Amino acid sequence: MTADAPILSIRGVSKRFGDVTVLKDISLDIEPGEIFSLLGPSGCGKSTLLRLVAGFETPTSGSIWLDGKDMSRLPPNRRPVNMVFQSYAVFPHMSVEDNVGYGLVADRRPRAEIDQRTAEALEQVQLDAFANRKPGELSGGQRQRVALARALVKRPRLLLLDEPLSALDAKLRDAMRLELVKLQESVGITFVIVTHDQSEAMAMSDRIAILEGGHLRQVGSPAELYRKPSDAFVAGFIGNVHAFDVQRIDVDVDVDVDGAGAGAGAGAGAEMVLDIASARLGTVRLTMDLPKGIEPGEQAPDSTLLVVRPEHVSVTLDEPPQGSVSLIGQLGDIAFQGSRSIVEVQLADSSGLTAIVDESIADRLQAADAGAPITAFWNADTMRLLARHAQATSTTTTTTTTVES
Amino acid sequence: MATDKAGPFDYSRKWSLRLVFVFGAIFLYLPIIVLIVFSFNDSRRGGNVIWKGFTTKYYEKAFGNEELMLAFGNSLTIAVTSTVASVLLGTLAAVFLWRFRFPFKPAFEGLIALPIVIPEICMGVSLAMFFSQMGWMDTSNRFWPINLGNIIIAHITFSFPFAAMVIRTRLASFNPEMAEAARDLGANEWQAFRDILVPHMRPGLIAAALLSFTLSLDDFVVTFFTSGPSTVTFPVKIYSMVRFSVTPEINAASTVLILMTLVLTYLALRYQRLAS
Repeated sequence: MTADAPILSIRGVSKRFGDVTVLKDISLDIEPGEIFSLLGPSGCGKSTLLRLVAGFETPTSGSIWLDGKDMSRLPPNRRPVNMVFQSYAVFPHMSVEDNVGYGLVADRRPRAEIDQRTAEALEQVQLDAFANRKPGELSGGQRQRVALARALVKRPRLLLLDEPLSALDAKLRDAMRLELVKLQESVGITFVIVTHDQSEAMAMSDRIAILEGGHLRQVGSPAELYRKPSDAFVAGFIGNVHAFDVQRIDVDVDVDVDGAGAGAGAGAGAEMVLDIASARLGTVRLTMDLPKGIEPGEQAPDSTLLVVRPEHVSVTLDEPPQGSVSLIGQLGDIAFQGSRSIVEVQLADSSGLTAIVDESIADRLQAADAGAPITAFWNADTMRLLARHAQATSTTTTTTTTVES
Repeated sequence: MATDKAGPFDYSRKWSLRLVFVFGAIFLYLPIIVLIVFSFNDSRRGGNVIWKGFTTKYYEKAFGNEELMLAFGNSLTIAVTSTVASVLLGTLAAVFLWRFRFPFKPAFEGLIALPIVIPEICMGVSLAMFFSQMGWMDTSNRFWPINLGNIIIAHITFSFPFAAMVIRTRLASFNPEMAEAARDLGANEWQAFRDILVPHMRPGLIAAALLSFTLSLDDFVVTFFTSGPSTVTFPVKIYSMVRFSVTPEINAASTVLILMTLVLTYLALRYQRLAS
């Protein structure tokens, strides 16, 4: 794989509105031809970042580069970037055809070219039969196609989509999700999608950037984010996690990991054996590299967490297997979901834990009474040690991985 | 079916509300109908109360009355000029208030709306005093239509706030993403304004123009105070004719005015429906 130059490069961008800082020092690269999602809860700054790329806002500091050119100060009409707005913003007083042709008219293209490209774009989104309709006569899904065609007809370097599926009903949403991915494959234009829906982002994107409170938390492929979240926020946002507060971490120098002299000489980043003390779990021994931002020794309360995903948790009415991490509680509700069931375990401190189990275990649990003593357990190496908030510097790591592979 | 009680909105089934309708019709429309009917009354000079037979001679007389025609022409000139200016100024004010945030904005908005609430007589007097201080009151040595300048300025003053309000209300329903979409597709600020914002404002612009036009055409108080001795408008002329004697000629002139307003309103509404 060759390391392509990024199509879009956001370099140290911050944005303040008055006293409110909406984005703090964001740096990320978007590769040509990928579907890239900006994911985060509402108010995380993802829409502002999209508007900065489109040119509706200018960064307070930092710069935005497209194809190696700084376009931070260019007005939106002079950026080779087009946007599909959340409200679609289809012009109500123009026919579908005129809507799609508007950008070409603004570019002063010759009439024949406008007509031809408009017809092509309408065909691409299967609206050729609706060319002479007014937007008021179209459904929401059709209006969105007009907005898509109107942006694609300009053959932009980047297509920006602001919450493209949020206004559609559930059935249409799934269809449109597939269609967007197919469309992207056929036109080959880089898509940047803003969304608050993690399952949507996971299903569509090649890579995802997770934002929270104006900070970039992590950039990576959906699998990377799921398997190697950089902090507890990312872990909780991509899927569910149970988190346990960590009091103390000791590096076990007596155990040799890779045959060489581990321990004293090993710095952060190298694999080592850690004894992690947690009030609720006791001491858990994990072999892993110490994540960035976590130092061995006493941990400040609520700053370092051990997390496990419900899909890794199992339950048993008997003794848990040797060497697993376990918690004793009472059997709560069982939600049947076909081949799997979601089991709720009520712990002694009145907190809950959910486990996702297969049919055979679920059948045995059905026989037991609610409130029966039960043990939740999981393999220690399915757990991850995470800081509550990591300082995101993952862009550089991602880039290095790309170059190496 | 007929036995159940009339609901609060069953207007046609309540005798009290029928009565309101009848009174409304009598006091609102009957006088106008009488006015129109008696414009065709073949009466003598000195009274227009008893029906004496059908004639159109008072229309000929009214159209032949040079002073009346001059006043009519003045009124139309003033109305058209002040309407154009009011809609332009109103649009600028409305877009400005809608688009920007600035210190003392509420105070500024209040000042713009002031002419709407201020009593017309006060406005007439203050403008008259202002014009005479400036030495603009004597219009006798100025040519038409410069001699109408006072009245036009006065009419713009009281009608542009109405225009601004109507257009502002329309702008409130504008989705700013529309203008951004135009910019995104390659339009500059001016093109986005012309192609997207103005079409959205169009119903508001038409309503504002209609309002300004009718306000100007039938204004009496402010015009009376600001017109010089040689500049007479239609309402002022009618007033002076009524003081002299009520002849069917006045009815005829008024009927023409009513007809004009009706046609204009009809055209405006029709155009608006075609546009949307």
